[in-house]
Amino acid sequence: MADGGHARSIPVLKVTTTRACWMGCAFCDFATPVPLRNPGRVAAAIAPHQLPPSWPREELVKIRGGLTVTEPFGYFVNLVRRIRHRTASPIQAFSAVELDHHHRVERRPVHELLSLLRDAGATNLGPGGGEWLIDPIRQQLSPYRLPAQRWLEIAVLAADNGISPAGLVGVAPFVDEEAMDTHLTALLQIRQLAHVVVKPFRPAGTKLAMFAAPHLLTVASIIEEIRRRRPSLPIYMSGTAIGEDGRWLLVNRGLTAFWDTVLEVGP
Amino acid sequence: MTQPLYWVPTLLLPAGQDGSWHAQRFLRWHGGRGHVVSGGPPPSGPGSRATLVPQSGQVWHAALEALAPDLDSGPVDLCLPCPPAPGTEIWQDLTRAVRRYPLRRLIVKRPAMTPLCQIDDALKGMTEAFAGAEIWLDWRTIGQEAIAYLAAKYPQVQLDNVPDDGLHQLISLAAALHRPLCLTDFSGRPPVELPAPAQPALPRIPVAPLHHAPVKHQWL
Repeated sequence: MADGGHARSIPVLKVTTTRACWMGCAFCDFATPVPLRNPGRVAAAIAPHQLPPSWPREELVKIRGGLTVTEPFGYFVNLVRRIRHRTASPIQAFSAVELDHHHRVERRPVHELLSLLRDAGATNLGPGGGEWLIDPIRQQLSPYRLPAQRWLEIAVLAADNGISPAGLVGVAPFVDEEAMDTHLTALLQIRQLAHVVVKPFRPAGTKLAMFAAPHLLTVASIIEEIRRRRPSLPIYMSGTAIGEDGRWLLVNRGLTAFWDTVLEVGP
Repeated sequence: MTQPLYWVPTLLLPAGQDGSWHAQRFLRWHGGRGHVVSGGPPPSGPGSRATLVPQSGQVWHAALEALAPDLDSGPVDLCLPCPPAPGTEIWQDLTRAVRRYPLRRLIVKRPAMTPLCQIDDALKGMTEAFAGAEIWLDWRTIGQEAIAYLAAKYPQVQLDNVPDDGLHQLISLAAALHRPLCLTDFSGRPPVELPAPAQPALPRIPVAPLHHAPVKHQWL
């Protein structure tokens, strides 16, 4: 809850593995598209020497990225291991989307990939970028993304393999109340969920730029609904572009804390 | 029916300017509805008027500190910095003003560095102490996020001084609050309900058949 009018802030080190991605999801404002046929020259993923020699104090390391077309999974496991040697903070690494990609490309079982991540030092599986667990929405906005049921299976498998999965609740004008209810029901049935990240849709730079960003009060009402359904589940949100008043509002509606990036490194 | 949220386009004309030309065009752009606050004699025409100095037959748009006990006045739109709490000096001035003057609106402004929780407490006090008074929140000084919080918590308050380029945010706020949005002024003419903008359709993403992920296989 709000402490003297101030919301809690968690300092985050954000590590981007690569911005290259071939999926072309309509909601994405992050990736550099890679053509499906003949990927051609693609910028390499982050190299170990691109991690700075020191960084500001962090309480969470987030490793996220697009979908690499050049580096194998072991390359990124090594990256996680190197980061683990430098910090004792929780490391949230990759997501079900990336694991499914590496599983399909390398033909290795998902539980094996999860074990490698866990042994390298990852503590959490990230929630992904736009995971509405409703197949019609997924097929329309991200047809190459794994189906909702597969996402849920990987999240549960992660928990069984010692990596706590995180969930994502994307707030967007094209996800109506009924769809949001379906999504929350599917997501919050995962008993081992470590936390939920609430992500307001950012239309700028996406194929959905004709839509407006969700209003702060809509975000607040979704947070209230998650809090109602799971009273003790931590709920986080990126602090980017939210002012002090907005933080106060959201924390008073049930948000646990904001993630504030102290340093972002990438290729 | 849910209490509408009002959009009152407002034009401020400083003293020393004949604002008729500006006022005419401003009102025309807003379908003949709008509120003109002028430093000098109010321009004629449709819409509503207020003046920055007291003038006979006009609504006085006054700051709290400008009110003098011996000043006679018609109706007043009273602007005040958010009073910290009952019992303070500003609060006592406000109480005296409410008793002394025929107040049309109380327009609450936010002084710099005032935390939202303080405005919240003050509004709670005001809505209880001055029940029945029309309380309006100054859009420009209070800020978007605080406006959202306060408008949700106090459905009886309205928003003042919303600039034209803030209209899309006002529309979005009205939709989030499930309240109709009406264009109006203080001329006594009925408000005009503004229709909600149409929601765009989701685009179709072309899908090519894909049998394997498009990766370079040199490391497999």
